Amino acid sequence: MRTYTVGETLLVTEFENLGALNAGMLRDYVRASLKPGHRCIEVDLSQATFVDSEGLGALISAHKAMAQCGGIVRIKGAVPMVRELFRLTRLDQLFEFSPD
Amino acid sequence: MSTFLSRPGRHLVVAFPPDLAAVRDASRQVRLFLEQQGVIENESAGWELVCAEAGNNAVQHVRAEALDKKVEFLVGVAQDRVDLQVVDHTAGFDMEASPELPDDPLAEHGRGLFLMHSLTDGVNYLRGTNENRLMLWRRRAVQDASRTALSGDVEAAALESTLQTMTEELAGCYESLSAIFRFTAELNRGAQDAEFTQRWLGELAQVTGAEWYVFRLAENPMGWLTSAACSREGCVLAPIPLISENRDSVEARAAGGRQDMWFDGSAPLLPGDSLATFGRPLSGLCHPIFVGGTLLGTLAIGRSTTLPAFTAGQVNIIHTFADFLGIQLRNARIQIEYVQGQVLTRELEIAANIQRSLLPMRLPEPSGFHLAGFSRSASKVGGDFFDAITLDDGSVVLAIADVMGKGVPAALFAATFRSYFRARPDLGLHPELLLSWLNRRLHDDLDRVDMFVTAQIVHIDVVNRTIQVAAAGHCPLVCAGLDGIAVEVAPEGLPLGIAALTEYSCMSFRLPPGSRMLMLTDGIVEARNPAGQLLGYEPVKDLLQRAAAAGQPSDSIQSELLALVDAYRCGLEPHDDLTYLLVSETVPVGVKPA
Repeated sequence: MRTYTVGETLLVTEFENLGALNAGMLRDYVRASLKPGHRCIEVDLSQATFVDSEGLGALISAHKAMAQCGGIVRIKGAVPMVRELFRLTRLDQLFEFSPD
Repeated sequence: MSTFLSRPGRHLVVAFPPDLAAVRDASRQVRLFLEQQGVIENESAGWELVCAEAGNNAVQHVRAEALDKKVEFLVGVAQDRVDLQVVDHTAGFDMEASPELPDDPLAEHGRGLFLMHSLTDGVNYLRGTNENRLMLWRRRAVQDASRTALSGDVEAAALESTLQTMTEELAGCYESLSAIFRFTAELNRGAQDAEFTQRWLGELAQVTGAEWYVFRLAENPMGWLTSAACSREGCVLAPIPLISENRDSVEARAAGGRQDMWFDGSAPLLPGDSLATFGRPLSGLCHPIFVGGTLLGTLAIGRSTTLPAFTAGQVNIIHTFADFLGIQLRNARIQIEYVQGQVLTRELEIAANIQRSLLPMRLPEPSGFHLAGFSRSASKVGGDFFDAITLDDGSVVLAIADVMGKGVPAALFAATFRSYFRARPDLGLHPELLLSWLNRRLHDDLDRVDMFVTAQIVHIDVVNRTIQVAAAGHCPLVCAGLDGIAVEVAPEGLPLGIAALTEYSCMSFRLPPGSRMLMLTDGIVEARNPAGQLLGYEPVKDLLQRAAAAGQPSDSIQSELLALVDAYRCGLEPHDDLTYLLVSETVPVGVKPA
């Protein structure tokens, strides 16, 4: 997992799954990397074939951090099975989605 | 589950230590295995997620003393379904039938159970003292026509596993049901509560292999847990207060927390717990029994061992037996209350009949006078009473009394008063002496039950037209004559039953011509209107004055009097008995009495 900034966007990328094992890591990375100028966190899930409820919790945490400064969280490249998980938990209404 | 585990190749068993990395690996293994068995990718991925959610819970909530125990995934694939069992060593939880998403969409936790339910067709959860077993299954969307012989074996193994589990559950259900049928029949034959409870719990101990039990009843939801049945014959444990600070007792904690409490070698009873009477070590659980949301009692049951006492299936049987016992005892209580209510109603009816029979069937008819009496109780059985007797010389003695209170005790004292009143007609010529004598007879009995009687006794010499009145704390009588003057006559005197040696005074007067005299109880003058005001004496005196002046017969005076009281109450229920004796001179108006 790594993070870097492009303009007003904090990119989070390079992980194969987002679950109980690394959800805490995502929270820490976002907390450490987020700067006042950021208006968007883009989480690249294109390589992730597995997301669980703990991973969703970490994404919600990122959403709450961005919502405080009027920003958003964008989910990039979610595979259909992962996209289905967002729909099932009705979190597809909380995040913005973009293709690869 | 021994059959399931002893046949490699027909299923997948993954056992792993309680850490999150192991859960991730094990979940992935399950997914790969399912894909190898021809389960389509979406479904295999769903099962991977289910395993991860269940495994994460098993790791995050593992009991401290079970860190060396492994979590297990047992997977079986059949032609039309996939089964998964997850064995964990947590304290367990109460499984909701249909878990919902968190109310707060921004909650960061609380979606795991919802996902497990959403991704499967059936979930069952057996909670035991040493382990819990989460059982899930889902129909397969696509049948794989090219299944190999191996997959057929796997299907058979999964089926056998499912059957094994079902057999275990059914055996427990059979034990429970057969006991329920047998004991229900016994209850219908009128078995006593205590005996039934003892035998029922003995049966439970036999079915589950328990070595001891204590059943306690909650005296009231905020009161005490009292010992109602115990496996040790003749053993009566001290009551336990049901207060939230009571942390010593596992039974009080189970009742207060509304959930099962387990104890064993790794989570022993606290030093002050009364269950320690069964010795140490002890292992078991305490189940709070609620019927209709109300705490009925607790059942503590277990074995003398440090090891966990019961399997998940046995815990289910304990729950079934305990909850059935609760329902039966509640039904028995309702039945007893109903019967007691019926008995009380019948007793009141009998008392009311006795009281009615005390009132004279016919009143004396002294020359030149007409007597009328009436009594109406505010409750089924009242404490008001009147009587009248004719003496040998043709004079009459009238008595009216009001026993403090209502119901059966008041009726009993009214009956006693009547017996004594009729026992001494020789004292009728001197009402004050008769009252003193009555007081001495009744005092001790009344004093013992903190009751008293107000009474008024009147002697009428019909020849000389003289009246003698004595009263024991009773309200004044009212007398009016043709002259249009109404007076209240109220000699002083303590009520009967207050002081044993009370002496009473007597007032004498001549009856005015055309007199109308009313002896009454306070139910008339203390009748209340909706504003709470008392009727008082004035309207009664006005009524009597008019009646005397007009020579009104007693029938119409009575109907006017009752109408006066009822109209004043404006339909309110009477709060006190209403009783009177009316004496009317029958000499026609305009005729000078002799």
